[in-house]
Amino acid sequence: VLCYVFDMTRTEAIAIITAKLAALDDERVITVADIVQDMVGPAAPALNLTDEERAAIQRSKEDFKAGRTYSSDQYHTEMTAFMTELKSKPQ
Amino acid sequence: MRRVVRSRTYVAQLKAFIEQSTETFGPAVAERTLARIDHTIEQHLARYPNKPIDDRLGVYTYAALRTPFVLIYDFDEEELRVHFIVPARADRTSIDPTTVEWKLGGAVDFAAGPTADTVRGRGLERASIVPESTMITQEQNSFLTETGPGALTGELFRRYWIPALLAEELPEPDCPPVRVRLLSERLIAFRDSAGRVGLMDEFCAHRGISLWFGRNEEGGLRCPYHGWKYDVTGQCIDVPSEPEESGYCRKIKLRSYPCIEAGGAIFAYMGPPAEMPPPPAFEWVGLPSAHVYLSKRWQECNYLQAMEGGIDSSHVSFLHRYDLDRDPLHRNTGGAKLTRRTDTAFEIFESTGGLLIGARRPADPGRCYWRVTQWLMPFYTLIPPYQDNALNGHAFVPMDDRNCMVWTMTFHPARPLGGIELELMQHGAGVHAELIAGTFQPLANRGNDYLIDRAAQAGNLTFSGVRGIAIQDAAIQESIGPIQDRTVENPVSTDNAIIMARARLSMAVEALAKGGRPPGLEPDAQHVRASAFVLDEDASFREAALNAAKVRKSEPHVAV
Repeated sequence: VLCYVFDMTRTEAIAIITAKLAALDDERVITVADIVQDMVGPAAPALNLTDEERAAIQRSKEDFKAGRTYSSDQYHTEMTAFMTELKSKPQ
Repeated sequence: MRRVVRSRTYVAQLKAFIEQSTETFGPAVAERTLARIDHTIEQHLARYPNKPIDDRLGVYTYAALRTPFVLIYDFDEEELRVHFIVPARADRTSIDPTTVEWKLGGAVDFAAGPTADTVRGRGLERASIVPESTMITQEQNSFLTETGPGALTGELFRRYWIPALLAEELPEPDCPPVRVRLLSERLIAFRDSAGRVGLMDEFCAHRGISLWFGRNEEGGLRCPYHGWKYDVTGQCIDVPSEPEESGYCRKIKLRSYPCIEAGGAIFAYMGPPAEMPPPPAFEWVGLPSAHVYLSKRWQECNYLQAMEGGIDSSHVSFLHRYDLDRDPLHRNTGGAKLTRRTDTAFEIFESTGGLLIGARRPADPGRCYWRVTQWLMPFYTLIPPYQDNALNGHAFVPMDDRNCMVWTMTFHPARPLGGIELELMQHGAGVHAELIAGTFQPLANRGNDYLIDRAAQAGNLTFSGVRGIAIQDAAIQESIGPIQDRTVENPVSTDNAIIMARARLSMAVEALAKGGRPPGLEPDAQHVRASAFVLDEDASFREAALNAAKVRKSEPHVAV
């Protein structure tokens, strides 16, 4: 079993596989090397975004320039309050 | 690890995404989806961001609880900046959410939900490490460990027949009632005058008195306080203070659960009546009673850490090391000698009803000794046997979130258990425990430090100083605390089976929340064996394990 956890990034998977190559026998190294080679390409194909989504990403970039951002602590506080409110709504 | 900064636009978009998920799947799944997204960002992307698809932005595609999404971000050495989350719709031809090519052993079918192939890569057989990402959050830990009414995992468990009592606890009609704590519910069990078993709320509907003090007579259990009487379905059949013609008692019914008596156990079904599964079909349930010995012991911790001990075959080489040489039900077997080896590697695959967990240790040159444990949904294990010794299994049944009842089933498919075997087991040999008379509390327990014997530890009579395989397990698992904090553990490769079992349980819970049927309910899924064998190094473990797992009536199991 290769522990490729399903929320792992490709880069992470490559890093783990590469680190373990030395422990594998030759045949397996070749197999793994092929897999890693395949993975080295772009992280994902080009994404078709709608105009609205492109505009939102632009807004996000401007958020960063203007400091309209959440640190991790701020974010978790915000989302905890949001989930509490969401769960209190009648389903 | 980069610090994570999220834009206001991202947070607004995420809220809309989660709100939509709540409407579609309900708040519990939405909350879990949010936790998975946060975990992905904070534990994976912040550590190992994928290369950007161009100079400006990175894109990460993922499916949390069958909700595919795309994250858009950029990063430098110190910071991961999250811009946007996009639901990955099927009309995005370039990122098809149903078939994302991960290039790691082939396409992953997200439409079918997370599977073994999305959890494990394909094309490789073994991992050397389990990455840190397998650590779980507090929310995930609570999700898996809470089994009371209303808890999601508890709802899953209620879909299975659950071992509630030994049949011998209710030996005859009108015998004294027995208190039962199951999935955080306090219940009373009794056998009525006709021999039928009832399992219902422990407390009288009138003034809340425990019916354990009740009189079990003439077809029902009567509360000693004011004489209200109940039949095995929980229906009140007599309220002496009210005129019979008033029909008052017919309006009173205690919650009750149907029971099945099989294999020396009384199983209860606590789920929706319309979803009642077929009766239990474990091999030990169908054997003649002389072939089976059951015991149970109270363990003061959450079921999950107890069950994970049962899944974790690698601890045998340490915790039980000297016992395998000395225990009368293990010593002098080839397997016991081979199990001393501590360089264990695992090969695991999903079975219909759980996992087949192969632990491989070196045997003769060019050969491997395999011990194959069965983990069966939702909390059963079957332990690999030693030679012609009887097979053993456990059920780790939650009493509440901080206590469980560890059942031990010892059985032999081809012969009755011998008198000496039975006597030894009754005194705590094998994987049974010696109990305080009249209780299910082990004689060696948390209150007396498990009667630890440091001289025996120093003299290599026991590895831990605790005597007896079952009590060694109990001592170690209880020492963690009543509910293990899994956010601070450090899993390694030998913990793969535990991680996969957690994932399988989680997926079953999530599937159930969406109306799916839990795995492992069908007889075929339960009618399997554990095994132990020696194979050539290049032989197919999977083929051998599946073959050895088959139950062949009256034929002995596969073991060395």
